[in-house]
Amino acid sequence: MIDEHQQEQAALHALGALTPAETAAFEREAAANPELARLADDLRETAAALAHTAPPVTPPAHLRAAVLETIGAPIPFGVAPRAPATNAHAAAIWLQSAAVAALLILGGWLWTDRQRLLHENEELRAADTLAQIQLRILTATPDRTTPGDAALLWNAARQEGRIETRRLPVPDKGKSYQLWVIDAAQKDHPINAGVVPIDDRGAGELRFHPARPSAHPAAFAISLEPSADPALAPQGPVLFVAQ
Amino acid sequence: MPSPNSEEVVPDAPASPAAGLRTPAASAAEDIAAQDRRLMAAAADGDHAAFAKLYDRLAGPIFSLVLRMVGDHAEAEDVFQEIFVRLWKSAPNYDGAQSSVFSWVVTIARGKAIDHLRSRGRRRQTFTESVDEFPEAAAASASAIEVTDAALLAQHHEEAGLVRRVLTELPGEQRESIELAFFGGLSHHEISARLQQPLGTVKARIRRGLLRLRDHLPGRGLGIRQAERESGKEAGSRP
Repeated sequence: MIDEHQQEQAALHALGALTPAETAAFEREAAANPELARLADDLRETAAALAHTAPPVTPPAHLRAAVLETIGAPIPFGVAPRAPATNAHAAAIWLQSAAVAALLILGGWLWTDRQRLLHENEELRAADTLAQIQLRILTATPDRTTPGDAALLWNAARQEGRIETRRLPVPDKGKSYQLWVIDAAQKDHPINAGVVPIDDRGAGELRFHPARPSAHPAAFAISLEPSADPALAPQGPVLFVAQ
Repeated sequence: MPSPNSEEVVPDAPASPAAGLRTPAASAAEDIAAQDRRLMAAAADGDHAAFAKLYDRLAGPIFSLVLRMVGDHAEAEDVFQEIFVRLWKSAPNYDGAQSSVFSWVVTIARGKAIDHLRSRGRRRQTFTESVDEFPEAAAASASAIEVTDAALLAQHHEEAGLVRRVLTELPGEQRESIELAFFGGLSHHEISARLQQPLGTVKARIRRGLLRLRDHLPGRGLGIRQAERESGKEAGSRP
């Protein structure tokens, strides 16, 4: 039987939130108590899943080469040799393939959408070689973890941009998503870039011109504001940010 | 659904239906975990190609985690390299009976990131504050989209979406304490001081929040661990 104190210690241990002395004491106790050890294992697995909530960033490609070079691996690396499938593994492989196929559908959709933005980015670059077009992915602020995706293109030379959103929560009645440009020189005075219209599926699109020019946009942000009273400065919670 | 801002009025979650059942998502997660263990076992035997493949599977979420913790791209790159070199050297020590590869790597990654933060004498509040405090992750993500693999992207997207959803359903106070511990590397004493809340309150929030997460994340905790034990530990397990 595990009491609340032991549960607390197991949870804190899983998050690495115990002091070294407390950690040692807990691990001694868990070593003598299989049920507690099992709980500690389970909570460690649960805690590890929190890593997936970090804003997704792919490491630069040069890091891979650096790591592999450091460990003495021959470069370039190919794919690991594929082991021949056995009957015993056939069912598992089939299930895995089905799961991967389902994931591919979702991944393919995301990939296509992002490719489309990249393609549009390229088209805009081609249309105006002087333009400084940037692609920014807006990420949910960690303390809010609002679901949905948002990405924008910003043309510094033209002082205009375009934002697209997908699967954002439909705002409560009387509320709307407002876009802001935070200029590096005036961070305390975000520039209103307009209200992002959202349909009932959370999809939206806005071509915008900030209310004031921004020579050096340090960030773009979406906050939730009262619809009837367009804010001159963000008053509601900031839900998405791109720096 | 509990109010995100409600205090400790939410009772401990009952055992989730997910705890004892194998959902398709759990099965998929199990397959992925088994593949990771096989690759780790091969890496422990000196197989560079297996390690490279393992790198490709883990690099995205681990780099994202480290960047969120240290809040600086250049520093995150340094820490990230140290982590993977350490993984290669420590691969023979991995015990598949004790943890999944992913959670083992996350533990190592968090340890390295926390060491780094402590060595610099600073712990940035990269996850609770304003736009100015927000890490560079969002900016860096723009360069990331060109190299993502569709299947892995989908896998991580699905995983992140699920965990975020469950995390969002926690009362705000529980979520905040958990994130301060996990991403901020703070001890419960430090969280108590930061939030100006009694130590007992912080401990209770973390306990309730993490137990609730466990009960609502299929394919983790009891699901995978029990399956592994029942199957007599697959490849990658060490005595």
